[in-house]
Amino acid sequence: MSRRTLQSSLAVAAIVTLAGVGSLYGIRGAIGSDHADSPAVLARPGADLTDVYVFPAPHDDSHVVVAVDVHPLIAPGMGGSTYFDPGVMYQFKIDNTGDHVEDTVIQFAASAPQNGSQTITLYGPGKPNQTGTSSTWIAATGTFKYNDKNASVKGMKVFAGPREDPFFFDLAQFFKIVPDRNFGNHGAGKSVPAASASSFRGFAAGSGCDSTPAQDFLAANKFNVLSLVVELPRAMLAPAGGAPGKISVWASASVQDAASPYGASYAQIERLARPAVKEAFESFDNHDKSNRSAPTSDPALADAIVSFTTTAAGRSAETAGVLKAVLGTDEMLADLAQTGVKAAYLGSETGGATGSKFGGRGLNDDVIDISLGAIFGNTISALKLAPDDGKESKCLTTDNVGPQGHHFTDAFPYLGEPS
Amino acid sequence: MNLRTAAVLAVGALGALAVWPRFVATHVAQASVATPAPVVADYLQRDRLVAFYEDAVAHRADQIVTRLLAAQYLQRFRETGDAADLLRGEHLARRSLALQPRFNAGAELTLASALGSLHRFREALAHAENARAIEPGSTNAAAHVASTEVELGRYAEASAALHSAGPAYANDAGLATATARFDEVTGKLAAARRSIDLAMSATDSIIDSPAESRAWFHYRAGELAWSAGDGEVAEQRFREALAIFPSYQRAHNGLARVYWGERRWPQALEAAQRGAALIPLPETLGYQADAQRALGDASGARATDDAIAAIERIGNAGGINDRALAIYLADHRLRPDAAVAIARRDAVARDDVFAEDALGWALVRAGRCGAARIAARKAVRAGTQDARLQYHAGVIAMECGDRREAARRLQLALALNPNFDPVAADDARARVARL
Repeated sequence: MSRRTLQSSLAVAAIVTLAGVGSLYGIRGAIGSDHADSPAVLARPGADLTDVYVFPAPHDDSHVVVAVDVHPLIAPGMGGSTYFDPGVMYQFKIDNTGDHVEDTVIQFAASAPQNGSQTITLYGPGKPNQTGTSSTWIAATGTFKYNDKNASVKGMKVFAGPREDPFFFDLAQFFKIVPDRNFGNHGAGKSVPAASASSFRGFAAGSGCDSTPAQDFLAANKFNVLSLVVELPRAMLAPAGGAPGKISVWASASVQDAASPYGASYAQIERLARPAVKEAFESFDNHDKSNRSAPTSDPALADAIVSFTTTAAGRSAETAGVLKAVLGTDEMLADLAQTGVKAAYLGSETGGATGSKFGGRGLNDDVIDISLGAIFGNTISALKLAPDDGKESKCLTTDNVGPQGHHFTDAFPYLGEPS
Repeated sequence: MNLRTAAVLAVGALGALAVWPRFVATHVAQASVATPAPVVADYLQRDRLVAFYEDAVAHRADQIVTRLLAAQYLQRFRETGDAADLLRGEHLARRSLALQPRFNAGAELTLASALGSLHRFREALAHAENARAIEPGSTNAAAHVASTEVELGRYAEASAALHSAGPAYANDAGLATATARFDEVTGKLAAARRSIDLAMSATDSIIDSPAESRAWFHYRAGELAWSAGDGEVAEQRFREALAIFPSYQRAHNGLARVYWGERRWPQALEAAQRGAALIPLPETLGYQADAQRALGDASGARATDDAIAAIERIGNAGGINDRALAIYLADHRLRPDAAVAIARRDAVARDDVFAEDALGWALVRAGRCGAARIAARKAVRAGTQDARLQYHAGVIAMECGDRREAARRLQLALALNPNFDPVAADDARARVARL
């Protein structure tokens, strides 16, 4: 599983009837590891980033693959008629100097659809004109066509088009478990309102946990996403004059901003790196603020990690502190100096405890189980990062869903064909 | 969807694409308007999406796909006017809440939307409030609460809900829409027009906005332009709505109203007939009947009147057309006691200024001046800049002997929109001359 929570996905907000036939303005949204996570992206699914991946290229270890998915919940058969939003600037932002500020960006623009296709313009990788949440286009590198698996631009393999949603998670059960995250309701003398369920599914009978079958929501319903994938030499993401090393990656979606000081500029309305972090920890109300911030200026995440962990999850302050230190700045860490290994989510942060020191995130990485183990299980204490607080919740340590229902491919762009 | 309907929609979609460049050219010429995205004829896929989610609910029901199916039913209702989809949407939203009773804000709002469209406003408000309790900072929930409060005539509560949402981002179309409706009803028509134009521009800039939603904003902008007496812009907005979503009943109805008000009878008849062919609303049929009479087609007008009477008997489940029926009967001095009873029923469902306006109008037509006066005072309490409402209040004041109030209201009606009604506007001018 992965991604953010999604408390109100698909919030259809019809604004009630004005006379006669009934009402009518519907805001829609969706779901995923970061699916449909704020009002802005609910209203604009083409700017709704769902997952970010960073992994070594399977057939050329000198290359690395970065991918971001957008537009959740595309129904089967609808992939070829769902398009990237021409009004959105899609970006990968890469910090390669350790200061959590982007040094290199890769940008994408999509043309208006024509005859069932779009022209995608690739900008970079290159130095951004400005850092932070306001962006302008850097020099264009080249163009390619929507849904062309054989496209390349100046030695980089590139893809933009519909793919099977690779995220795996028992999302329906997760929503039932998600407790109240309005932390103003919590605290001394207050009881946290109960959720609709207290266990993931799929546990063995007699385990004391829910033994009804777990379900991979996205695979079971064959939902698709739109994917932007680039395979490029690791060296292209290295610092100027340096060798490939540790990088932090996040993705963003931005829309035209008439009020910007930079002229023809785009304002960030969505940001995503690690899966399910904002969704698991933050109140939905804060997602929009987080989405419009830079990783280092997120106004809510760090405090939300502590609040959620110590109240809703009932863990110790020490455990919460470790989670805050690791996850409080939302970036995907990858060590490009690690060769000959696969990606392993949180591997760079944990010295390889999750599989390798490359870190990043591979398509098969069970990011939800890794996250649940840290929040509700004994991962933190087992790594000797904090004392065992004895407050594990075994029924919440795995969603018992793996990648089996997905159809990743051996060839670029690696994400499965759309249903 | 049968083949004929599909063919009509497909032709309409092609037509929309053909006129799109012209629409973009006129639209972007306005100041501070975002570039409109191309229109995607998503409505052509609606039945397919409904079928997909119906299958998901049948075989893998959970609270998410159940809610998504409810949302698809509501969207199809908006596109076709099939009220059975509202009932399906309500049922599925309730089922989603049964599957996840707590913290299911999406289902709460979906249910509130269905109930609001069914004119069960008090129930709708309860579920919108549930959503706001789950997500106190959600502008979406706040907008829903505010809009429902407006329909219930609880303007102080609506204002509080809007303020609770805090400062919204500039292109929060939902909040802008709720604010526009509040401003419209409470006498700030210019501000309402600015808000709806903002929301229209924001929604037009998003390629994934459903065509019907985009058309709805143009329709609303047209409605507000008409309220402000700007028939030219109203006509333009309604035509834009039809370019975006060719089978949009509301836009045909809006055009019929503009032509009816301006006594352009052949155009009024054509627009009303096109609208009524999609959804035979009493208001639309009323324009059709008046146009037929004006054009000398007395038998056609009688047939249309009969159709309105039939809708009153068999097409008014839940009183969804009560307001329009009451106004129509009162306007045409038909069955005054029935008009009063229908208007009272509407005021029970939602006691907003327009319900009191309809009730006052029906009462004065029934010769019940005292009761009409009470209703009229409630109708004008928010300072609504609506010519018809002000005209009704003026006539009621005049019939009750308050010449000063009558003159004020009638003059205001004519100042707001001198073409608001081909009969009533002339009547207002004549009354002013006599006062």
